[in-house]
Amino acid sequence: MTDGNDRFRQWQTGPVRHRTTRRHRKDTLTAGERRRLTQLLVCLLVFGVVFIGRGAPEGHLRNLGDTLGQWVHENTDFRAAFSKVGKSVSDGEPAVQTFGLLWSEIFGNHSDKAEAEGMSTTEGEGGNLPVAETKILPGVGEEGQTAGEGSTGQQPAAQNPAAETTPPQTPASETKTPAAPTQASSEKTSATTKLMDGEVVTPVMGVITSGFGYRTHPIDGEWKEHEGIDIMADEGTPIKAFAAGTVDYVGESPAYGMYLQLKHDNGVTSFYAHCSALLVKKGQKVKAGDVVAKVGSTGNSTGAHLHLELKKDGVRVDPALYVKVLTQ
Amino acid sequence: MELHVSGGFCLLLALLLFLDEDNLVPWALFACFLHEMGHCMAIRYVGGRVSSLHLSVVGAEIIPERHRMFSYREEFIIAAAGPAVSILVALASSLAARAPWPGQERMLLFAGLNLAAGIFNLLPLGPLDGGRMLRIALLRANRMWEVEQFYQKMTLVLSLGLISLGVSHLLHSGGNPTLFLSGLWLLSTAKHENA
Repeated sequence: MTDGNDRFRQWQTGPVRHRTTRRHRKDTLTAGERRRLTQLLVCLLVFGVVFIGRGAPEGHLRNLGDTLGQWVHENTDFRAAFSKVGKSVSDGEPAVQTFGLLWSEIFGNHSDKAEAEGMSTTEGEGGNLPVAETKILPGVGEEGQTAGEGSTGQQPAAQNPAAETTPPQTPASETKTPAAPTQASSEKTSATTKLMDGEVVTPVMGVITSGFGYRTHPIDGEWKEHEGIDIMADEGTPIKAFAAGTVDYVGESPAYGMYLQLKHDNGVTSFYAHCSALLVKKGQKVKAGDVVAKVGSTGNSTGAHLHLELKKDGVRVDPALYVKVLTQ
Repeated sequence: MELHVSGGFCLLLALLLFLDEDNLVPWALFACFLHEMGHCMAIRYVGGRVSSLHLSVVGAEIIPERHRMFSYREEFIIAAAGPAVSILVALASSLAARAPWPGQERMLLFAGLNLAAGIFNLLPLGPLDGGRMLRIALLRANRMWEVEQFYQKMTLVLSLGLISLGVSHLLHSGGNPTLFLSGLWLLSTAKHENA
């Protein structure tokens, strides 16, 4: 065999191993083998320590883990990022769009929300892509509108649970191109972004206990999309109408408890759930700020809070952008 | 089939599990396992046998039995099988995710992980499958050592490029370290390959 052939074989079969024969003797190990074995044992020990130490409540290891973890996770919610990519394939989005999503979600910057939002919105508008749209999967037709039961949302929105602020991201609808509301800034200040003309009122002033987007469901522990925000408040707190409009429907269900929906101008609807009492009837006209219900804990709820959803032209948006909230 | 686990692999796994906050690593490992199974199946398909599996810092490597030399075409198939399986699993999971059932969200995550694994492995760099496929394609027309030289240089340049891109990501209002870390990993594997 010439040298060239041996080299080919080496390359073909992986890293170079100088010993080509295996010795099955049970004698003592050579110095080299002993060293390697010690190294392996040390590494296994470190692995064991880390594995167990991860659960430790206090101490340097925990602090180190928190610091490192913060650095890695501060900017990107990896679980949501991968889920979003998966959803992109599942929804039958064009391949180019999915690849772009792969890049921007896994590697991209998520701190500059306007930039990230701009990227996903541009990709959401299929007409702008100059390349022929090859779909990975055949597109999904009209996926059933989720009617009041808490089934999966149509629009994925990634959220970083580590950060205190809820990052705004306009979800892209698979059947319509989203009308992206103008983003004021990425910081959660008391100033709210404009969703529609006319006066807008915060239904309940409180702390957001659960934000918009993917999160671990507090009751069943599933990784689900949260289609609105949860605002903590005492039982019986009056819930004010988000804006002037008409009562679209009122109802009661095991998941949402007592709920109601208001229809406003500009294609905006607001939805209020887990109420303890509903104070309006279907078809009734309300002004911005009118008390329409009371906070409760009916339905699938862990405590008294208002579950608030906002939709513009059928697309769910993050209500935290459009109402005032109390920071902790 | 033998299993070889290096110390570096244990450390890397420890680090990943330590940093894993949303329980991604087990699913990612499963995705990698399926990817490697793709390689194994391809080896069997072309008539070879798998002698051992090496888990190291560089990643997982399947070592086929030595006495069987593969043709260029067979090598290409073996290399391509990994990403192909990952992409197929991603498609299958995403289809499964269309129906409403309790595991739906997990299917979406799994689809995303597999797609990322498949696409990442198709990059023509370092020890990745895409790199192997590229080298095989180049070997048809060029000498081995020329191809190796070119490939090493390309891997070096591109991984340095990724690192600098990753650094600028980080500096630009404290961003996502993933790109930077991936670039670093690719650079480290270049050294490993030489060894």
